[in-house]
Amino acid sequence: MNHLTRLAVLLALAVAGLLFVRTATSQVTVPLIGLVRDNNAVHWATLQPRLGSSSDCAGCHADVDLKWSRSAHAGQACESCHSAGDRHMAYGAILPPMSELCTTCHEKIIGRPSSFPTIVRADHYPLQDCLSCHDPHAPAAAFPKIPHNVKGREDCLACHGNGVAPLPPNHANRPVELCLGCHKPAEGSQQ
Amino acid sequence: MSGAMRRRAFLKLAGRVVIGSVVIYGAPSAVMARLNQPGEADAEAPPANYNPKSHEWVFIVDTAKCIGCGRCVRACKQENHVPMDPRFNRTWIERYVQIADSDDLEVDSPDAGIYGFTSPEVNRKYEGKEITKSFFVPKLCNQCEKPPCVQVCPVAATYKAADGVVLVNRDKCIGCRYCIQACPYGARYLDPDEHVADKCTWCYHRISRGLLPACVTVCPVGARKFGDLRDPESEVSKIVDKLRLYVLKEDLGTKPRVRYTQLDEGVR
Repeated sequence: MNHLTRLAVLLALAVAGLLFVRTATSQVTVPLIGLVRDNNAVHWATLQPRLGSSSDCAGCHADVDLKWSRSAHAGQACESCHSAGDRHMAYGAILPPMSELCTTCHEKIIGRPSSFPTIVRADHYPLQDCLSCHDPHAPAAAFPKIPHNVKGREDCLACHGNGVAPLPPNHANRPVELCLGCHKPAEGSQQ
Repeated sequence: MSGAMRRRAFLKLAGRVVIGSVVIYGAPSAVMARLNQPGEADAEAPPANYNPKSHEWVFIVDTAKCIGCGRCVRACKQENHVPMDPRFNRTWIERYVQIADSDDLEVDSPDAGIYGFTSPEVNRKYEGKEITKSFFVPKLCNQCEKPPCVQVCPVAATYKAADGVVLVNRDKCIGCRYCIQACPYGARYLDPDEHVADKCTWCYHRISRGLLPACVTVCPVGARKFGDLRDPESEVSKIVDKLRLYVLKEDLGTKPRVRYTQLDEGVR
């Protein structure tokens, strides 16, 4: 055999060896380059939740939970109105619900199912804060017993001037400070 | 003699070239390959027991219950660090209104519905008009069984996990927006901070821990329901058994996993 042929065979073997070693060690594969759909679902699964469970809230706020669990809002998550609780758990940030949140659910608007309890805010004591009459943690239980922190006739008229429980016509021009002479708050007529 | 010497010199040179090539080409890439290997998942991490192959999630929306309060949109943005800018949403609420003597349904979604639909500006355009039909439709990623967004991604950054949830590998995404164009439901947006595609994951970090997605948790009227079809006792399984369910744009053949009960035929 010609010595050049032998050299050529040796060189071919060496190149084959090189390719083999390179393939075995380098592991440059299609997934490494990134052209197959590799799954990083683990990354998504290990993110930390920000919203918790309402039973976690009830662990400390047992008094609210007691009212809430028997109210019309019982099916609701605390964070539905109070927003994500992670900052509260981490460093005690207070989570005040915004006052407009009542009407985002309970305002009568186009699109809202007619079976859902709604009001027209413009006709429903528009100057009063919702919370002055309603306790959102116990709406059904607390509604009939409205807190009456009233002093003078003006305070009474804020609700009873016109609206749900208006004054009878013959009460229209009574002097100031007279209501409490006959009526006890929330107990009706005392005559 | 001199030929043999030349041969030996050639072989020496060839050997050096071969060994040098192995060192130069092989070794660094071998090291890189080791470095690039995904790390072992932390055995103590909370979703350690989660096996995506044993779940088949389904999301059911009842449009007759939705009151359009926007709690779901707000909770989603908080939970998933979605920008508060109303252009970027993983979920949003649309309101469909039919005015008398009109064939078309009017659709509006002010600020994606995050502040509800109560402001007077939102409702002014319907003042004095006779409304024959009106309802809210919450929308989110449909996690299609045949997702067009996965099909078009040129770098294979988006994929369907074993439980059916379509996810994005943010390290791989190049922000080309093909998937955003391809989604027939408008469910994707480009994250303005990192310039990668983002979308609803059905709160993957919550469902893998046994929690509900944030929007389902906060919904005050139960218009959003989520569960596992593999569990025959789950609420969603019973709904799927009992009710006629609808999907959005059924004719596209994407086979959405978000199903709607009592969906009006005008919804698109």
